[in-house]
Amino acid sequence: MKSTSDIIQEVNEIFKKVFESNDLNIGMETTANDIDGWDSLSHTLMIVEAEKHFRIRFKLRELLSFKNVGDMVLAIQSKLQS
Amino acid sequence: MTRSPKIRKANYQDIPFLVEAIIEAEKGGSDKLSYATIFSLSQEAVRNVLSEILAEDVEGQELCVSSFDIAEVDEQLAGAVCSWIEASTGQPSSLLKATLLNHFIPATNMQTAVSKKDILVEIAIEKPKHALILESVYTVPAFRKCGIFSALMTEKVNAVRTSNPDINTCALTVMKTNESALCAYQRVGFRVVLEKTSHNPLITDLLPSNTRVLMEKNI
Repeated sequence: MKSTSDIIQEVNEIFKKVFESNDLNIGMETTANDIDGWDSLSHTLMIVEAEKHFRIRFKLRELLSFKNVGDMVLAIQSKLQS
Repeated sequence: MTRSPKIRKANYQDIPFLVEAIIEAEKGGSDKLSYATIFSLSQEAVRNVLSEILAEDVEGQELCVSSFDIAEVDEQLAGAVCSWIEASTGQPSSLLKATLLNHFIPATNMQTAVSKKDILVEIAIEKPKHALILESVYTVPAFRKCGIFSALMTEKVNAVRTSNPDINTCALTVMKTNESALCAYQRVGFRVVLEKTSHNPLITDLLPSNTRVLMEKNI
């Protein structure tokens, strides 16, 4: 079973790819305000890449409720466990 | 003589009119519908996607039934405006809207849009946080120059003054080529605070203008 720190590391790699920045280091509290270029299209790409990487599908209401990276990480963990 | 408009909240029965309002406001007097050009969708497909998203009624962004106010004159639909307090739900409106579009638009069309990102980002304007945002401002042609927008805006601003007294800015964006809208907004006290222009010739294949304007008004 993957821990939250395993998942956040994998999500960090997705962020590096989407935002084309090898220096990115995200945390559970990271929000769109903290990353330059986190706009509507990169947000969409990030969701698509996360779903592809973890082989999961987020529900619409889940996506709309994410307030930070941590919310997404916990949702991924919950899906990987079920 | 036209009577004063009656203002009411939109409901699900208004969705076809709201779709018309969103599309006409997006075109801004041109024939260019950005939802169709950016996502490579037909106008009919755009109507279907907008109807589906409106039916979800997700607050905090512009494609939400309960965020619309409607103006009626003699029981005829005369105009509409969408409004919300930016980022009050925790996510910027642009991200909420992107999530909805990504959910309802086919993946291949979304990929088409992503490929146009570098063109669009040049004139993207972030909406000011904790401001009252107006979007999809629309007046039915037969009711133009009758004070419909002014009545809708006044009603909304008065409501926000009561419900959110800490909000002191009202903001909207408009394409610079939409001169009639720009003049109408200036007449009711909006001023231009930011302009973004793209010199990429492909921008006007996607949007009605190469310049987007942010206007604000103290409330």
